[in-house]
Amino acid sequence: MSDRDARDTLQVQLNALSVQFLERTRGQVGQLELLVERIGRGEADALLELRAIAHKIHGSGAMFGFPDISDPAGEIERASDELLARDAKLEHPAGPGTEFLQCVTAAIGRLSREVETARNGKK
Amino acid sequence: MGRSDGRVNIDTGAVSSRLLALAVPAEKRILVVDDDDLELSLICDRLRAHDFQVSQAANGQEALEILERQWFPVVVTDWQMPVMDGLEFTQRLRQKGVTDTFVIMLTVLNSSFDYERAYESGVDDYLSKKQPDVELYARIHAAFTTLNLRRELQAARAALAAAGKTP
Repeated sequence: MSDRDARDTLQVQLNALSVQFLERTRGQVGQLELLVERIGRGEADALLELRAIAHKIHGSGAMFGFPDISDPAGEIERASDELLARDAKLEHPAGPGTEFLQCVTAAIGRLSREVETARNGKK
Repeated sequence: MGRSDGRVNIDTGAVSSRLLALAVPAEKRILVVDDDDLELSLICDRLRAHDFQVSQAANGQEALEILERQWFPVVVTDWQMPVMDGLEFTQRLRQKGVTDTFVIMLTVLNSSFDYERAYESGVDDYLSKKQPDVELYARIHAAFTTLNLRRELQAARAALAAAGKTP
């Protein structure tokens, strides 16, 4: 196989993986929206799930070359880390406030739009 | 055997052969450790396209088991993984006395990452998940170069020890 053939083959493989990443992330956006609702209802374990999914999208988005997808996921991850760190210091954790929920909801909205933009670009 | 002028004679057969064996550049084999199937495929496909022999593991525990059976000059590992994360994996690898495997930690390089603890655990280098291909290959080639220098140093020390000289 020539170098050019090898590069073309790799490009086809990477494109297929990118499509899979976008489809997976689209599903994860739905999960994030449901988790924010659960956090709003005071379900503490939902925050850890939210953080885990955001971390995954943050890293994978960067690796797959989608900074506009990675960045809002990074914002959700940071906000979750700050909340977890703050509550860990309190005897009676205050839980998420309006500011946290607004910040995360806005980031999920951006994330959702960027995923759709990227999906449309791949079609 | 040592020489009367203080220099070490490394021309004796046993010493020379050990030197040669250890000084042979490491094979281009890499173990990639990541719990995310898509990320794993992405890295492995990119490395294989550049003629690296790539094996993969889904977490630190699996990577340790693979390394029990086969030596890898370079390991590229994610940080946060279930079962065993990248830091614990590196720590356990070093506790086993494995120093001739170069460990590169993949991170998104955010403020929550404890770099100091990672270096103390035995991580050799970091690679941002945001880096383009050219950076990935440059860092991996640098890892192989460093590892080969380590092996040559190890060979030289072994040669000195065999010749009766304390390095």
